[in-house]
Amino acid sequence: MADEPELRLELIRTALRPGDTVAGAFVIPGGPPPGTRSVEFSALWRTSGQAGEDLWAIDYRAWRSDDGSLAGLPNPYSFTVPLPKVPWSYDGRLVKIHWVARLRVRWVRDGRAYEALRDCEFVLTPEGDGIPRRPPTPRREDHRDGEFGA
Amino acid sequence: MNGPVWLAVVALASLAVVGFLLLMGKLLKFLRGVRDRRMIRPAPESYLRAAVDGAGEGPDDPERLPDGSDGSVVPLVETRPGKVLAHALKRDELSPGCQLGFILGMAAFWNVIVGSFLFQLWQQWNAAAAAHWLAALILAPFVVIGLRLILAAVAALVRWIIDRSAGRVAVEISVHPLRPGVTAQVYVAQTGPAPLVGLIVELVCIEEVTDTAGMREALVRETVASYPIGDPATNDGPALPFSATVTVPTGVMHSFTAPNNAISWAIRVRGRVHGQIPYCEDFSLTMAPE
Repeated sequence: MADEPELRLELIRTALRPGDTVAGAFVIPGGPPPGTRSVEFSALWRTSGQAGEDLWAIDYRAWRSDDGSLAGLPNPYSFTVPLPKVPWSYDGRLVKIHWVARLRVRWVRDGRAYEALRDCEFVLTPEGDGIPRRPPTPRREDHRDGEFGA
Repeated sequence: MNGPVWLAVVALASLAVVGFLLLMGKLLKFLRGVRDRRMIRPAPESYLRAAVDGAGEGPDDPERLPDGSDGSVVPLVETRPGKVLAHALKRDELSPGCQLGFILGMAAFWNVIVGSFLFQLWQQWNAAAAAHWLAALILAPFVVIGLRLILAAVAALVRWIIDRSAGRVAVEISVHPLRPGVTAQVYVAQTGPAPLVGLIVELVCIEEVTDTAGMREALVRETVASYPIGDPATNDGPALPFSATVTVPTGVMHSFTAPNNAISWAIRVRGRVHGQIPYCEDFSLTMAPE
């Protein structure tokens, strides 16, 4: 990717409880690259695994060139986002739920669009111990229930 | 034009259309990828946030727990008032009677049509005393699908007979929704001609995903946790009606649903009817956050 900017995104704490606030900051050293169209920050949960990804943003902020807000981008930028009670972080066998703070920068050079993404994962559980919920260790008789055409 | 010949034309045309559509789908996906590399599209987070703000649509489950706001997805499973305990749970899926009716209808519709073509082919074959291999080859996959539908109908019929034998199995629970660490009473009763023996009652957690890796979407389910309720005293298990206490372990995951991923909880009743025929049914419930 052409001249990908360095993105730094850090969180104060990565082990959180429902209702806590995720806090941190991001910085783009040297500022956004020439031709930047947008700098976007979001806090979201997403799923991973063999299924299609589900994603939900609980906070989204954007600084764009087309509305002039990019010029006012605080760099570095500190954020605090209150978290909901659910869903908890989960590391299952088929379903995995991750909480992330995400920084996305998009820019255009020579007529081509580029994008740089930085994710910083944190864990949301009632214990606040940084360990996602997991199903118990599989037993021998546990089984996959079957596949059905959709 | 004689039946099998025009049938061959129709079948070939159908295959060509299906192939064309598949190719077009792949081509569109490729072109979309090219466009995505050249154009700036809105980040998925942006319109999802808009949905939170009320400008769009979020996960469309109308029933959620009050603390499942902010785009969270904890589905509240509907229950009925129970006769013994507060909540009667519902089956996890369509009743075997509905399933049988649906699959029988499908099998009949498909096989009557394919059968009429087969009959014409057979007549042509006898009259002309010559083999119509091309027509037979084209018909073969339709026949295979028809046979699979018949097998599915037989399986549904067996399931329906087992269900009729077991009669109505009722599962009731004293607390709903359940939560990690909560203790609840569970009651299982049966009204049917063949008593359930070898009864096993469990609290189970099921992960369910829509697998999109292949050419078609497939639903994949896996039971990831199982907690026995009660203690089977004999090889035949406890007698019905069955009553026991269950304490939900702390540290379990709450119910969760999203368009492609779900974590669901149920009380699973297993046993045998008529001595050997296995019976298994899940009764859905909600596991709420702590």
